[in-house]
Amino acid sequence: MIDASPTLLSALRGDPARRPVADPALGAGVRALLEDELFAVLGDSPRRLVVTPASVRGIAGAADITVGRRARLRGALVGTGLRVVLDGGRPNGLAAALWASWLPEAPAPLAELAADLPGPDRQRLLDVVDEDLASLARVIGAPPPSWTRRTGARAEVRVRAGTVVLRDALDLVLGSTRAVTRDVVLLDVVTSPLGEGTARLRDYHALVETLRTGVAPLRTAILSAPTAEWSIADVDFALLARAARHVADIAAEGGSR
Amino acid sequence: MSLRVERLTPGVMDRLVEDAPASTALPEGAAARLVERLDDLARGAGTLDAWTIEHAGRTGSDFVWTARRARRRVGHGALARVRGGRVANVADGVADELDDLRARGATGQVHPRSLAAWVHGLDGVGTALVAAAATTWCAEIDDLAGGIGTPWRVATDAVVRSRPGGLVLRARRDLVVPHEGRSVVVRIRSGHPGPSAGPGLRADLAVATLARPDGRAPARLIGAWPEAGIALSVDGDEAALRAGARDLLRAARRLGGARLAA
Repeated sequence: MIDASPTLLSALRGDPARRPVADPALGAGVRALLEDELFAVLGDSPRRLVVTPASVRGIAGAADITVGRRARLRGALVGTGLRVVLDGGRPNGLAAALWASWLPEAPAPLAELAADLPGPDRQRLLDVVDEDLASLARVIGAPPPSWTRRTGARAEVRVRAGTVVLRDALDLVLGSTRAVTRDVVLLDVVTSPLGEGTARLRDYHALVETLRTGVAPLRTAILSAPTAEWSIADVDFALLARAARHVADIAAEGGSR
Repeated sequence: MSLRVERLTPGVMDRLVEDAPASTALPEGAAARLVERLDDLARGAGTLDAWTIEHAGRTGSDFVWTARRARRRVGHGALARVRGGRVANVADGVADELDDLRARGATGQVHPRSLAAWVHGLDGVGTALVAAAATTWCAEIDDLAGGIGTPWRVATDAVVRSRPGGLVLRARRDLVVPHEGRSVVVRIRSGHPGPSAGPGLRADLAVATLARPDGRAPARLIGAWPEAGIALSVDGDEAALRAGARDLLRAARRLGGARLAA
């Protein structure tokens, strides 16, 4: 873990000349490894389970109680605000405008949470989101327009004959899977400080992206919006194997931790 | 008629285009007869598409534009600009496309529920969210189609109107790849393919065929689900066309039945 500097995106992208060549067999190898890990803990059981970013961080099941509605809305607004910041938007006072633009198309559970939020709570939430976005805008940098960019990228990968579903959501994906070298970098922005759970989540993102595209990403990163710290990892087989083992641990415990 | 399932790994899209078989053509007059029959069954105006097939004949609720819904139209416009050499990159293409839509909306000469009117009414944040969604859509297409060795183009939907004020049949198309006298159609979808994804693809295949003046089916219709990393495809053979037509007839009958009951 390192303190953020104004070059998060450039640190993520690194030197293009030093990127490793993409290994087309790695995706299949990682899938086979994950299937083996899952078989070791589930055997032939027909049990179905869904793994989510919350279960990887160890906050699933407790989300409504301990994380709270404000935290869920905060995460959604910061993720949406990132898109505006990357588009050159200024973060100052952005939260109120985001609230108006994002709410009509927010997923139903979040829209209901937002509608039920009392006025003073909403104002406090918007103030915190403004602070998060200001901190994020200071460190993230601007991606050149030539970079292939996806924001709010979702994934749903099924393994073990469709009985285990890995769901994921990333705030930013840069690069293309069709490059000769490994070109894709992943970024997730969280609204909590970094810790063991976020490190597991960072690795999980790389695992799901590898399973989804068949190509391992170059790097995976988590940025804590309030503290402006980030954690970057180069993706290699050891990282993907660690993430696969962690998914198997979650499966052994029934899908949530 | 078999539904082929592939993981969307590098090289798969190129292979699906390369080994697309020869396609079938409808017998003369068959397309007109089928459209007429669908119109009779539906008993009036309405739209039939893969969505209605996948949702057992239900029609969608009132349409409202959102960034997610606008991404496809804006993204297609942006990609057409990039591929036509009018702009250097997707970001510029999206910005130009949004500028054009805003200018059209400003004339007041557009339908109040059109994309142009909606974009014209957006503030800076709303516009940025549409730009981000469209840029993401273009990146999905770039990842998918960039590996296809044959030149491809961004496609508009195939639409068949039975008569003025009658039934509309619509097949979503995102890319068309002309290949050795045949064409392969690609449709990009969100989420994970459900159990009715195959019938949806066959309905798209049937409508795309009805929309062709020569009644020739696309050689292959590929449904790509990038979020799931999966591609399903159906070949444009007689069995797939029959199955697609059967599902359209069933959906038209449900639509007409619902009208009678209302």
